[in-house]
Amino acid sequence: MDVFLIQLLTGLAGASSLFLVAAGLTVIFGVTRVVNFSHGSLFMLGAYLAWSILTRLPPDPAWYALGVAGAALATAGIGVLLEIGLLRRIYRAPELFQLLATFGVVLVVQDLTLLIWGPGDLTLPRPPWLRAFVPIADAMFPRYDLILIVIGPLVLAALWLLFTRTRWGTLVRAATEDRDMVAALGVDQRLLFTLVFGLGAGLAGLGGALALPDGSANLQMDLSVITQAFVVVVVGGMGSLPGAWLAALLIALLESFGVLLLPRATLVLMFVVMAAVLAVRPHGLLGRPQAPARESGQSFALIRPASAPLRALALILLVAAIAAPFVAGPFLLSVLTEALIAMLFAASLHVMMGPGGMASFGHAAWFGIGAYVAAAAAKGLLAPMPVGLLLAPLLAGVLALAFGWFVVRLSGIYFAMLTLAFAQILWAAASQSDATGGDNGILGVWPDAWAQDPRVFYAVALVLCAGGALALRRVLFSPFGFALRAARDAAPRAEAIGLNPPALRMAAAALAGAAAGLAGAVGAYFNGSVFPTTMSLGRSVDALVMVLLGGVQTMAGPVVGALVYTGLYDVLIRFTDLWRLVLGLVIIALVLAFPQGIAGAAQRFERDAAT
Amino acid sequence: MTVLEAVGLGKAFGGVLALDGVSFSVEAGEMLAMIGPNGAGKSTCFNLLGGQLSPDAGRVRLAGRDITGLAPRRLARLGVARTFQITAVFASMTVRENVQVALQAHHHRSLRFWRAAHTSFREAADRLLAQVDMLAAADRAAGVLAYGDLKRVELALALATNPTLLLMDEPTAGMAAAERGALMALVRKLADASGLAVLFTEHDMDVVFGVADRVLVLNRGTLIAAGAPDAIRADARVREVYLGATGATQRC
Repeated sequence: MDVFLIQLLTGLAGASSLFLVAAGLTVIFGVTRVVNFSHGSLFMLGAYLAWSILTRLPPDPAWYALGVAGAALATAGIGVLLEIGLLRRIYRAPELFQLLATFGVVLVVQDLTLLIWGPGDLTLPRPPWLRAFVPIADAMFPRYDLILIVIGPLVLAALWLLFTRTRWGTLVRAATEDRDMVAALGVDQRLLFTLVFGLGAGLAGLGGALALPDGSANLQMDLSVITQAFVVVVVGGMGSLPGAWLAALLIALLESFGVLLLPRATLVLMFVVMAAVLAVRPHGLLGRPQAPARESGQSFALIRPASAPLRALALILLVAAIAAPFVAGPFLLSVLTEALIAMLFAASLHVMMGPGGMASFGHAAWFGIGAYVAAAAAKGLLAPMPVGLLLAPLLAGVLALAFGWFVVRLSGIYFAMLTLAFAQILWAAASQSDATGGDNGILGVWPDAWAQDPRVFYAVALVLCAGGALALRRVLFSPFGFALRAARDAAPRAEAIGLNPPALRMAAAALAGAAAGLAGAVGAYFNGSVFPTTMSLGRSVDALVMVLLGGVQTMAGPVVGALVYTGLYDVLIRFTDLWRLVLGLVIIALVLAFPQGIAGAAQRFERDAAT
Repeated sequence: MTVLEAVGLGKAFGGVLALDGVSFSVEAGEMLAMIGPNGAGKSTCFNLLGGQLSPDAGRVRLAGRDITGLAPRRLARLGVARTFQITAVFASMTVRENVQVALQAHHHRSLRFWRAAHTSFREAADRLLAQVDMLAAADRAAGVLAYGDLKRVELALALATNPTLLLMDEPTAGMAAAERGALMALVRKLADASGLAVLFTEHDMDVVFGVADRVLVLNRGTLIAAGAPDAIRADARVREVYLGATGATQRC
């Protein structure tokens, strides 16, 4: 009974800080329709700022409260600058580009935080009043957690008053319902958006500052928090504050009780709950279908097979790639092998995002599954490399088909969030399980003797990856590819001519999963090892950046994007420690300059030149 | 021969009856117009027949077979084709490719992963495009067509599934007057030549009385009149719905 009560209270305390972050995210999404990937970064900044402020203040409760408020306000200020400097310019860009830009912010903030505060975890020296315990049901419960429990509902109440009792709040709610109408009524949308973003950022900062005493300010906070916040917002319903609170409660309690019941499966449990909620209520617990933002109505550009010059260029590249082992040194050859793997990985994601119309944020899951299957085949079954290279895409494809079965009916953002959560859970499982070697990974996954020579292995990678990418391209111009695109362009129309859009999307997911799995397997043999990072969020985002850089609506896009990104990455990592900062700035600059991607921009240039 | 038979169709949205006990039938080769003021239930009725919604009451039969509540793709396989009020074609493809996709779907070829799509059913697609007078635009992007041309392409898509029943929701909305007549004359020709049954909703009374064999009048979810155009024109209740109780001017 005591254990139950203590876990309940722990859960409630966790729910509060989770709610603060999720509330900011959901408010921002509701009004601006931007899924703010950098929300976790704002949370992290809140924690770091709070550390800087609180370590300079006298350690008593009043100063503490003031310091936390200061950190929240400072984060809100950063949010305002972010909105004015970046987001304001991309509200009309496609959803995915907004996400990409905010991911650029994540990278920039990572390195800036590292520069300012250093790499170590920063903990707050806890004064006695923070360390105090309160006896509850024969057990001692930290007083600070009790304070947290109260803060969540207090903030919810304050937000509720703000949104229902003030004119500004009414405007925000109206904009959440129908922002075009609000604009048509003469409300200054720019100011409204800026303030809403500031409010959301402030809530994230508050969450980060309040979480500091129980943990530390560290550089991993941003991505771990954003995943949880996404789950909460999706389960609660995008844009719904009470929904976010309910979901935060649900998830936090699940976590605190899950630790008792299934200590290793809390993340899996979270995913199961999320899947169950979305299966019954596709828009979350209290969410409603979003009225589409009218001005950004999607129109899809005509997709043509590559023009003659582009084909010639591709042929030249292919010939160069075939000639490479005879001229290139081992280092260049290994960079090229890596580029080939990245290319197939990006091409597989493109199948989902482009013709499939499904924005997957967890594509690394299939890459990682492929890698682990190859490792299991090599180390567990002691099977030769071809067996691993065959099993990996097969298993990844089957699992992607099964996963696809229950997500293909979800709409855009929900789909993206669910794929993200799924990949994060696999990642967590891989880093915790003994079967996968945990964070130490699986070592010694080497190719067979005949393929040990880097030139031979390069040839194998070339055949599988370039061949795989070409095969995917061929499929996209087959009747299946056309039908898939038809289902994306106009789903009701596609159904009315007898097509089955969910089934087509499932097939596309399986195909993309298999191709990513193959890329993962080649990567495993290439590196000789597999680590949980092969399915980390960073890896998924790599692929996203490659596809979006190249342009979603061109078949050449992922290839171009993979080559540019791998090149950029290899150059950056050799010349600067601050590669995240530079990469983030480059991504932001590219999004601002080419909202259609590099290949998309080139295509338009070609078209303009022709007319 | 009766192609479509609707019996006692009813549908409510959150307690509001959008459609209440509507029964009618469409014969092969017949063009049946469904008219009524805004909110009369025309689009609801269409979405019940097309499988986009399923009815709360009543049955729908296609050539005697019960098709109530079947999904749109099942209906397409059974010979029900439709065009939408807000025209939807596949914007990322050419006009010809649009029709090819429909033909591939109709012939169960959509799960072929390896053959090149642009060579399959090419001639058949061109024949359909010629039928709707859009062959000259076959290689243009469907996403950039003028509205009237889009309607024609959509018609070709519908015809690609070799339907026995064609449902057209506001087929001429947004078109110029001359274009309207031409499109409906084309549909008339198809109905006469192939025995295609056509049910359409329409706001333009010139179009309705120009091509329809019979007219159904809906008001507030119920059928208030059905009959030949001349009879409908003279019907007192129809005049009341359209012109108000005291309306006496000569219109419609």
